[in-house]
Amino acid sequence: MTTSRRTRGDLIRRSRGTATSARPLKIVITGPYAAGKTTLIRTISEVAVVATEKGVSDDTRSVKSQTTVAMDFGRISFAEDLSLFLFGTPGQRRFEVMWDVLSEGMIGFIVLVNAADERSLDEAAHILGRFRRYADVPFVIGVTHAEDAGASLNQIVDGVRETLEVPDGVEIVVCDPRSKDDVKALVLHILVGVMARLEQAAAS
Amino acid sequence: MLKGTLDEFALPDIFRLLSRSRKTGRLDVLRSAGQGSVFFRDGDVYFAESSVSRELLGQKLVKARALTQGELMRALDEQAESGGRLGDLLRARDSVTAEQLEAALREQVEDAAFDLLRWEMGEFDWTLDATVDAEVELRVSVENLIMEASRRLDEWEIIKRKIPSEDCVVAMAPTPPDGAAQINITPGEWRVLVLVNGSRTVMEIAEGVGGDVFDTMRTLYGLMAAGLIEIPGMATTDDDFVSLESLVAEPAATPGAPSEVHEPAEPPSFHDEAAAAPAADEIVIEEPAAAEPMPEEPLAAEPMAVEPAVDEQPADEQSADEEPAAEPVALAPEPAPEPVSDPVAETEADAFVDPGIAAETGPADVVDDAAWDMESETTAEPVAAADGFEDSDPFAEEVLSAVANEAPATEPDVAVADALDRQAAEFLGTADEVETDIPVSARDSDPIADKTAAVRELSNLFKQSEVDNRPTFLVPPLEKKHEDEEEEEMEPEEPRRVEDDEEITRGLISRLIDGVKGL
Repeated sequence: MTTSRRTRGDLIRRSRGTATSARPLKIVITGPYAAGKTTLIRTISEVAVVATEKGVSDDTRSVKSQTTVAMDFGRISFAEDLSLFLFGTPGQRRFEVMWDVLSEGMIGFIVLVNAADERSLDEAAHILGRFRRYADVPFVIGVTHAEDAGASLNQIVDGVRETLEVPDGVEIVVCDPRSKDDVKALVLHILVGVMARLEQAAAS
Repeated sequence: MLKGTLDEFALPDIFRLLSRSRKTGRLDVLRSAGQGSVFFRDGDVYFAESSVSRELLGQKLVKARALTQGELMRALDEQAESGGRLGDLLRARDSVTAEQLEAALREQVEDAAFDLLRWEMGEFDWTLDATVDAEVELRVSVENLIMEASRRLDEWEIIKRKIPSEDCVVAMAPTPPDGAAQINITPGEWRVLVLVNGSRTVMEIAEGVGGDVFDTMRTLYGLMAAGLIEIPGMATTDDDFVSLESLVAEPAATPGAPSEVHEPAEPPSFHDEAAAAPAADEIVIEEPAAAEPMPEEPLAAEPMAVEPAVDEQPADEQSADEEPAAEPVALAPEPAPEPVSDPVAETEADAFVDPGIAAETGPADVVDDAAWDMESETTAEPVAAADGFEDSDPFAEEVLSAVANEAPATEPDVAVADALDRQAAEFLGTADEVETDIPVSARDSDPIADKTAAVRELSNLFKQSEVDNRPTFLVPPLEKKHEDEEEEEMEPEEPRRVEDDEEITRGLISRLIDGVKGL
């Protein structure tokens, strides 16, 4: 009998357990439409993002099927055995059936919200609620387009925290997804959050 | 029978349900403005068609530089004489590789799926076990289709800000863009541009170039952003255009040798080969230029350019099998050699094959250009839909058992679990590593049962408040349940905690932190 009732996360753990390299870890980038998810991944990823036919030159469209994955996907490799994967989610609610799939195995998630778009805040609240149900992992809120919001940064952050009902311990970071430093800061928030949880678990 | 309306059930949810249950059959989607069908085999999509999006196979191959226009024309001639499917003919002539053909067919499937997935109104109808004989055995994952559709919809939303509908009339800008000394356009843009005359709608232009509406709107958006065209009466500013660097065509790469294709002498008309067939990679129009006016009226009033210098890298120098470049260029209009619409083929292709007819009465090779003609030779042998699906569908029983949490694990449970595992492994690129033998005892003790996923999905898909709108095959058994039981079973399980993952160690995270800091 080779079949099993493994869960996906369980499977990933088990399959990697016999591998010599460390398991690539996944952070999900989510948020409403036009919040900057693709830009964020593109800013920091070492591989082509939105690797669809639009991501390859026209000369190579004929080999599209061999080269593409229809999603926002980025990868950062630090060593041969150490990689971090970034997965972007569809922003439209009608495609939220994919959120569940993409969130599997994530170690944390970043919610981007467009501060200049009130609808973006409402959508982000819905998305955050869903993702918190998928997994109990660290997350951080990245606020984009703050310069267009017509309010002070403090007001923006307070408004986001209230609308999204973000717990006090969770960071809300005003960021520019085009800025590598800003993106690094968001990713570090996740990693530091994971580390804190691991240390807490070890201590207990 | 699984049927309903799209305002009750989003098509992505239906797709995912069919994928997870590894169904084989045909999903028909109908609305007043069009119709389409998606064929599933074991949960993967292998064929899709839409009456809206119909860039023909030959055109796709030409656009992909897998085929020259001449080769296409010869193949179409041969097809007209001997019948058969274009793809098969091209393969027999060794004009395209199997990979190129598959890529083009796959793109057709994606085009059709995108059309259907963006519909918010209409009806769907599932026919179990209906099949179609496709030229190439494709397997397109539902997840990829949904993600691709999502990405295209993002683009669509941006484009619609400037081109609100397919019925908009577009016109040439009366003056060249401010400060423009040189205008670079690609052959694909040229093909669209020559059809812009101030009276044709976007849809008419799309029909004229033989491409799908989405591609045409994307090209028009780029031209509009560049200030070359406009929608009469609609004011725009540069600031209105989003992400110009990624949405608008980048200047073409390297000016090459003069093209064998020249500016059309006369204003082109639909299916005018001269209008539709520049084979250059890029057309550069410089200003000031000589005194020959552009074909369309607005430019004739203010001649901007004459005899555009045509820069070309000959198509045959481009290897169709070349490895792809790593850089993503979202929304860049394609600098492709020109697919010329063959009036005969186009006319033949205009007959949309009713998906129901295609699957139930035989002619099913609708991917093929000529196969759009109802009289084309086909080899389709559709399998009749199985009756009684609503009475004894194993998946329905399986998921309902999962919801009710009454039955022990069964082989179908395992199958669904393995499908989920495979998807996860594919996402993380570990598909080859996933084969592991797990003792039954270990499986049974697994704290996170696969039923959880089924319950969670079903609880989202078919909420109690929507009970009356559920697909009929799900309704009767659920109605037998007591409400309090169902609420109890729908209680979400404790979400997975990252600290419980044995393979996530402090050492690993520490290395990642150092790595990110060092970026």
